[in-house]
Amino acid sequence: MPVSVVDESDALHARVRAFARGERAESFDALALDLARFQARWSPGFRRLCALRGECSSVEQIPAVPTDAFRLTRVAVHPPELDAARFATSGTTGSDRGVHVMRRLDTYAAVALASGQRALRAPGAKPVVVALARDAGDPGESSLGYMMRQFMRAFDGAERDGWLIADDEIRMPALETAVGAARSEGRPLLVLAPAFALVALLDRLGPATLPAPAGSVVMQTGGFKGHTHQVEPAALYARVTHAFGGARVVGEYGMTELSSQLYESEPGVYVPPPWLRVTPVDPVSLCEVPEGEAGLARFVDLANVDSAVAVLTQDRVRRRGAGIELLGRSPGAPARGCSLAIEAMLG
Amino acid sequence: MTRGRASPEARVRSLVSAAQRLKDPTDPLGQTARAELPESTGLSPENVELALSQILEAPSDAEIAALAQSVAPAPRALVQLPANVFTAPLRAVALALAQSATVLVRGSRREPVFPRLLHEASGQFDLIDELAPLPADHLWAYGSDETLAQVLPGLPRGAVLHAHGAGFGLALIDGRAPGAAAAVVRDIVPFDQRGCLSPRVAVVVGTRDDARAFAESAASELLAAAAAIPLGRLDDAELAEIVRVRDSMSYAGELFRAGPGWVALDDAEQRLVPAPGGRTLVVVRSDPELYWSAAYAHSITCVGASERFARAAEGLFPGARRCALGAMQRPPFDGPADRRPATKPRVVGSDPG
Repeated sequence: MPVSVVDESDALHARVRAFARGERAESFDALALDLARFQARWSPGFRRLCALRGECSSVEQIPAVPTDAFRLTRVAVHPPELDAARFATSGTTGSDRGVHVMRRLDTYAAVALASGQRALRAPGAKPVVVALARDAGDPGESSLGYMMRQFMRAFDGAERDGWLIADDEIRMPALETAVGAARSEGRPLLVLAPAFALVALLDRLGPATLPAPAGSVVMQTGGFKGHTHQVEPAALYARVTHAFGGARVVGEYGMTELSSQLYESEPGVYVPPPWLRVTPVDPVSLCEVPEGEAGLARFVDLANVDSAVAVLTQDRVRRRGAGIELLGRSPGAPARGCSLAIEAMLG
Repeated sequence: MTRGRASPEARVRSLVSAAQRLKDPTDPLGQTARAELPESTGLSPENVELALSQILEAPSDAEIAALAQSVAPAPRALVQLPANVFTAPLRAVALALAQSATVLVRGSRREPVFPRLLHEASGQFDLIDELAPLPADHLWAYGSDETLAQVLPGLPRGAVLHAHGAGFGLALIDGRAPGAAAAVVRDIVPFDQRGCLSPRVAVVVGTRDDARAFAESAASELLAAAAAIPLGRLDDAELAEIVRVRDSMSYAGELFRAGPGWVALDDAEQRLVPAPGGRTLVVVRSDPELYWSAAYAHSITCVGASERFARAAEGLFPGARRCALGAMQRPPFDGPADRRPATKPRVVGSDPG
């Protein structure tokens, strides 16, 4: 009996979740290659990319799907009627927004929680969780929003009024209530926030502070989306720490086209979880660059079961120990003279 | 430098006449051009020869008269030259000379050879390192949108800016017309597709099979062209962009290798994704109703159209140059190559708000 895409996918999802829990003794490479073979079987686009690039017998040879492809076409092994979520990239118009579709969300939630658990929670702590973001629905179109909702549910446990932005305004009373609840219950506070929202909060607070209990954490994300270039990360962190009475700030790096996230281990260094591999590659040869050199970030994300196991971004990175240093977005080909780059058409 | 009391047309005619020395392979300046331009432009010697012998304009008196009438007189005209299309300085300087006997030109650091040789041949303008516009000066600036955005704040009130920024060429193909692929490739090869007249996208009106046949044919024509006129040197940023778009389009459509370049057939319809240059092309199928393509009119500098769509092109892209396929690199010498509304002169300080 022929195996359906759903059966095959479900089996791979189970293997990935087991891998993320550390329960299975299979290797990253074996699972990544199985995912690539599965995607080549069911995705004509990926099959064409494989044919273009030739041999694919190692993880390094898996063709990475450029993030542009998520804007140009559907990147998925399954038909649209099986979509459980369609997460859109940031952008101003429909035509310049990429979409990462997911057939099931439990794997995404599982790996996000596993990473967040390690990076954001002290052992045994049960934080009060709030998000400096608007409630965009469940699952909504924002993968970040979906992840924040999972953190609220799993880490906090309470059905709290935790979405702190409405009508483009920060709901200060709700934030103050959350901080007060954390204090009175003796629980740490966990604030999930894009960098631009933190800047807006700091502007709103002015010299005032909202001292949070010991062990509180602020997860900052989205520093590469162009909103906060006017604030250096170190200065932003210092101001946020001061505003929350000593809270630790942890940077998170994620993107819509990935299912997994990296967290900051030391200033400027982001570490992937065991089910995500990041390699700086040369933008022309697409081969790994020598140690110490910068390259485009090529991700192999085992949790991207139904889309693209390998993704090539335009973010420049450099290896730093077990992690990577984020160096900003590649300028790409400059719009030379009167020529026009693809960005100009697709945003 | 102010030179005599010659009429605008006479000044332009004199410049054009001087430029013909660069066309001539027996003239010492023509020989110098052929010796130095491959290095400064990155183009193959064959492509330099193609541009000098076939693209560099030798306009008629009527064209020169039209060009002279296309601009307003000015006390001084300043030009910030482009670098992508090495022959473009001829038209750029001609427009300035049509405006004024005093023309100051700043060459591109990337391609200084052609402006220098044109200066040596004509002596009709001054080549300078930095432009310092005065009120009432006209500045012709060519370059990326980013470069042009940097120019405006430095202009004094009353100066007039003629900004010519990003754009690309579009080919409108009748899916049943023979020879279209060869004609489009004739438009792609010059300058290795770096200019704003070069076609980056071909819209094939017909069936999916028509579009696929055109893409295949264009790939084979590009391959043949590469043998006769080799692709030149591309820099790392250009190569990276070519790889990036190649892989994206390979996922989003079908890719046909074409020697050093490629042709991609986009699976989607009613969108224009421009190829990155370096002898690449994106092909998209369309129904005869081409209304959707008008949404891209602001970016289309030149349309090369099969005869069947010449009239449609006029309505869809009113600001674009319209040429026959195979002639996109040689629009009439009757004014700026790029005539989109955004290139209309702007008087600094007169913009509302």
